[in-house]
Amino acid sequence: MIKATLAVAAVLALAACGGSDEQPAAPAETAPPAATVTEAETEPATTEAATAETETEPAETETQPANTEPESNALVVRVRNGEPVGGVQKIEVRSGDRVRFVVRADAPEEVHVHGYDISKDVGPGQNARFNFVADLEGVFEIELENSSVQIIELAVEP
Amino acid sequence: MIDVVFAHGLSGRADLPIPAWLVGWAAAGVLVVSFVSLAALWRTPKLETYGWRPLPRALSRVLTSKATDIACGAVGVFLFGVVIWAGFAGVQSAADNIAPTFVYVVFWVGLVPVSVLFGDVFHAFNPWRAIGRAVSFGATRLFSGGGGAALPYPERLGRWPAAAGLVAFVWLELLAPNGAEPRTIAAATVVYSSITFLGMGLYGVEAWTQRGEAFSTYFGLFARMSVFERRDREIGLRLPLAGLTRLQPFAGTVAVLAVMIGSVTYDGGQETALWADIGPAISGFFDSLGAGPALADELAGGVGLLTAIVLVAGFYLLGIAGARTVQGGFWLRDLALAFVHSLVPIALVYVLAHYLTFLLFQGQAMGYLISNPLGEDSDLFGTASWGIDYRLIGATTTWYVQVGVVVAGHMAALALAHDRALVLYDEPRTAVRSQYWLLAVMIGFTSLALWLLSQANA
Repeated sequence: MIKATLAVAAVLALAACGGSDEQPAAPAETAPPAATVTEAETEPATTEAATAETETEPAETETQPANTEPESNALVVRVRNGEPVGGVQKIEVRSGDRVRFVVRADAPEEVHVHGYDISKDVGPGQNARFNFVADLEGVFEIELENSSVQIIELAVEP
Repeated sequence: MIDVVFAHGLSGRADLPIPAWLVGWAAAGVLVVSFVSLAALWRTPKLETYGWRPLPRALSRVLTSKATDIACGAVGVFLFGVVIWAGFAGVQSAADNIAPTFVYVVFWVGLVPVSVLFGDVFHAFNPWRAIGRAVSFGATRLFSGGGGAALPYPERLGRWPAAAGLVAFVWLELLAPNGAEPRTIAAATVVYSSITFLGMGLYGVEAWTQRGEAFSTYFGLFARMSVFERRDREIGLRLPLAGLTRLQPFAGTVAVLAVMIGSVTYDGGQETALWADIGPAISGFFDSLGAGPALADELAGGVGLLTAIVLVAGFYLLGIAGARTVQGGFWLRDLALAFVHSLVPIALVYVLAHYLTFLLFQGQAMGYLISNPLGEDSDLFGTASWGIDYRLIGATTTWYVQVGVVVAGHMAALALAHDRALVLYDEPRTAVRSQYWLLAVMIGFTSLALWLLSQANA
């Protein structure tokens, strides 16, 4: 029975570990999907290290392009030299929410959203603006099609 | 480091990590199952000696006829040819060429549940076996007396070549930077075929197929879980899992299972925060030796893969070493081989939990790929415009299925281990005491599976 008790303790400890590894951003902060992303940018402790770099260019990632869309805080991803500035960005939404982001690049490329199969060209002076409903659940890669470089990871939770 | 699941080139969608509350329920389920099985441990083996009920004779005779064997072999060789042809001649895009999806989805993942359900189907469709048999048939006709007898298969060689072959395949699938490229797959198929034919030439087609050939071994292990068993020209029904009790304890079997479980562990492990910390460090080390970033990443992954395999084997052997203390008279190696069959359900649920959605989604691509295998402009069957429906299974259902199979696999593994212990040990009480050690091993593997699922793409 001692061994069985140790087994109980081990598995419960593991379950607890599984809980603490999960991103705290998940259930409580997904009400406005764009807000999740902004919060991700302002709380470096809870998201990947990549966000820290984004913060060094607040002017780039928080201001609106002149021809603004109605929502005030869409994610802007900047591509420089074929790489996303600040590393691969993360977008987390709930199923049914709207996904909005803008991609700016210094060289012509094509942005492809896997799974949803949405493609838009991007280049100097031509931003790629995405606005769609997240009706497929899972984790999807958003990448530059020609160079196969991932720029965003989109997670749609049920 | 790029998220390697996507570098696979084939994944349009990956799984969400299972949430903490579900991990908790799953862990509780595992514990309940473990305690119940400990309490309800039966005293006479139920799987070691099993009943076999034959199917209707006509059906058996058709399925086991030479004509069926030749027809299935021809289909296998045809598909084998398509992979090589499309791989070299088709467009070099993983998603648009039939070769990567056929090899990594239909063959590598798809044949697993098919084998579990219907038995050793791959044995009939095995292209290498078909070609080998055709060649040896032709050789005996052309040169009376054949070309000379095959060498006896060395006992110490056992399943080691199969283990090596599986490592090579998994390396190609998970680590090689161009592993999803059609040309690479075609070339690898040619290389693997050469090695396989060499082995068949040395030791005979059947002997090599049974022990040395990687895919026959792989699918053959899963096929032993099936209810269908063939005896000569008859096919009959048996209890599920019972076929595993007849698994021959060839040398290297533990290595094969360690590769099977360890490779899926690495594939899941590379998405974890743990690997995000240590992976770049290992890669940086190789880079500093002059490997360059791509090779450094590949070698770092290799370190991770081999470490996972060794840790899986080590953990299992530790459990066996503990079980040895219960009653003397067993060599570690013999005891390890005696219980290795109980790891097969664990390997199965690792594959299912990890790759089921990959199979269900990317598998749909076969709809348009068969019409347009080279990725150019053909539309052979009119399905070239089909797509993939990612709504086929939702995230919540996926989670429940993943957790469900993990718990079921745990149950199956415990049942097999306990049954074997009853046969090995004289006293039922000694058998039960040995099971505490095996139970710890099973809980370890099951917890690892749950942890990996909770870290997926996190």
